[in-house]
Amino acid sequence: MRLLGLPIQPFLRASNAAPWAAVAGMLSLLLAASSSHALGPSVNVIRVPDAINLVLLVAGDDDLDEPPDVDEPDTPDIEDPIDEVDIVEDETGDIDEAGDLDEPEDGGEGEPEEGEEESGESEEENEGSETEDDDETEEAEQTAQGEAGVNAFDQDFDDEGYLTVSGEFLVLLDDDASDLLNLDGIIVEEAYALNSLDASLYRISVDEDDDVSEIAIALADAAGDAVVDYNHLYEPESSTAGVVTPCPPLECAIPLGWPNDTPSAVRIGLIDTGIDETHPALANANIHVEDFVQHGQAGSNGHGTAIASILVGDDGEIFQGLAVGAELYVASVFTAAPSGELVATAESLVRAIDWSLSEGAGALNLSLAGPPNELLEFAIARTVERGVPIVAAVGNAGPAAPPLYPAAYPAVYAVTAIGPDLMVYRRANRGAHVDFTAPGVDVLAAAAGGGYRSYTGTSFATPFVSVIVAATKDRSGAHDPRPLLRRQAIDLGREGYDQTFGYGLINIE
Amino acid sequence: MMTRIYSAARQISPFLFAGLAFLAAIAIDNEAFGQTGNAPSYEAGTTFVFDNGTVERFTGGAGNELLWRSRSGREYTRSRDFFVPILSWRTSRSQGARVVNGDPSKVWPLEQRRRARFSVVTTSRSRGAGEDWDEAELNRSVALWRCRAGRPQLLAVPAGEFESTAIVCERYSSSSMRVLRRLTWYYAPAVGHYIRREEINYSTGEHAERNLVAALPLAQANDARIDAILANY
Repeated sequence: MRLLGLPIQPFLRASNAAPWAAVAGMLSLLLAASSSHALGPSVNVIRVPDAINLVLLVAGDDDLDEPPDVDEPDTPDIEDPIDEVDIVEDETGDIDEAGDLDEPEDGGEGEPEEGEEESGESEEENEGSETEDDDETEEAEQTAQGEAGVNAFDQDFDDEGYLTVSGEFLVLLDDDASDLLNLDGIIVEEAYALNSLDASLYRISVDEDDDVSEIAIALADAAGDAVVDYNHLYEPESSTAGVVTPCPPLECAIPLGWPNDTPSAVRIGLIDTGIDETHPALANANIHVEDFVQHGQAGSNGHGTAIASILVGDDGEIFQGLAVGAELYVASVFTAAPSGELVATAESLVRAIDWSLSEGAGALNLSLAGPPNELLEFAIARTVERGVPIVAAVGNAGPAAPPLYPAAYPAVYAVTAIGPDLMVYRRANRGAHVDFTAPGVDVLAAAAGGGYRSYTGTSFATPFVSVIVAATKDRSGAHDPRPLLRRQAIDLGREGYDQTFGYGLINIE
Repeated sequence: MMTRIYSAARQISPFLFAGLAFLAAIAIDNEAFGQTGNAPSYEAGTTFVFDNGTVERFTGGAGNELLWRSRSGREYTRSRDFFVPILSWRTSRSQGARVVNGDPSKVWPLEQRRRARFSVVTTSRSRGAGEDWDEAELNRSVALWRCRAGRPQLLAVPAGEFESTAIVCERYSSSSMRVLRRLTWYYAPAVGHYIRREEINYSTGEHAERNLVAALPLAQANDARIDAILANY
């Protein structure tokens, strides 16, 4: 029972013993407290519960109607400089032209997220060194990416501030509406038949002087069923951290009720970078790779190598992934952006999804994130309709950042990451779309070129969920195993569902 | 034994017993209150967007000399104790600096009833249109502040739901000891910044509030993105 949001049960219990005495006792306390010497207003602040403090405020304050202290020379209230900045922000046409906000130094791409370095440092205690690791890794990765990927496109921002390929947009049409592409200003760069998605995909470029959004609207108006959007860009969701000795996938998965009898017939689709097929952990795995990079060449394959090893890796000695023996279909979609970061276009993602379906993938793993995109949403919806779950990382943009996609689509399993201490990864996105939690801090995985290292990010939590989703679906025969997995999840954080951990730690038992 | 104490207390002083019982029951019934967060640590480029249009971007600095930039490009310095008034600023109409006496950091790590008192000496100039800074009148003022930490609570703002702790700061008159202004900053350790700020100006009766809409990493904090976010508010 609460009064004004404050508990009154204690008062009721005390008053049961001697009701009138309880009231008198309270008044006694009030009188005693009012003689305290606490600095402050006529409303004395004393060390009593808020309920009594509230009573004091109401009963004791008789100064609110007095004039303000504007004439006191030592405490001027007019034009308090505290809010000067806020006031100026709301104005336009200031005399002092401070200029616009600086563009991010890296050209808008943000910090590279390919930062996988071994580190024995505490993530929380050594944020400065973490940044240094990022710089060293960034330089190395940019060099690798520059060598691997030829810059063949420019980047731009759409009206919402999301990254896109400059001057391009994508169209999904039924075949019989393809003549609409003869509209003025439209140049068809590429056309693809998406057999599994029952649609045709067109990449359109426009003249520099044309307004992409106007053309998009015109096209959408001409063909009501057309799906039109920018060719958005997506990034892998890994970052740098190092706390303690990283845990191998099977060890990380113990709290998840894994390993378990994995049906070897499970087929998993991995949409990511390419992989190092010569790595000992992957050399003998049942892996099929297809390249979907259109702009330039494929980027570095570190991210995909790590994810693939978590899924199906087995070097026969020290390392074993979660689903050894399962077939893995790898769609390579990442290329190097002009700024050096790895990016994947919406076009490549849609095509990769189509291919994965055609290969019979039982679940798709997308350890990447970016903006909402109409074509991507369409492809996901069609895929889920066919009973193929899609598992995606929520992203590493921070707990108060807007949702990232495709994880934020309701049809997608959105995965966040925790560390060995069951604390949520501090950079993980949060929100009402979070579904499940899995290990994603300091996970041991294969490094392209050889060896193993520690990886952190919601990217690396995603394969844990992908495997369990695929296995659960295969066993249960359910079209969508999500309700079953929700019931089986180990609740974390606040009781019940919460926006940090979702339904909790995914569990197969 | 407890029964005997109970009987004895009832006989000796019903008033005293009732008061003590009341306080004891309150203490027992209160939830355990542990630490809810240390002082924030910011990453360069992180941009905080609020529903009243305020945009704060951390651009660098360390300790209690942190450099921030507003949406319009104004730079200012602020203490890591964000509830302390801005330490230095420059706009087209005013410029100034503040010196803090006392230790505002005593509220960290946040625990209920942890307090800090400090005074702020402000030296500033305000100029009118066409006036040079040299002609601007120099002003100096002293403000007294007292801050205290509240209880942790789950707070919902547009950016999400976060465990937060209120830091209630009151500025009061040094002569009349009257509260002139109250600022309540709801700090969320997970976000590493305040997610709501409530303001009451007792002199004017004005209330103001701002809520966090998004905290963007550098990569996402471009003007178009910020504009798109604020368009909903």
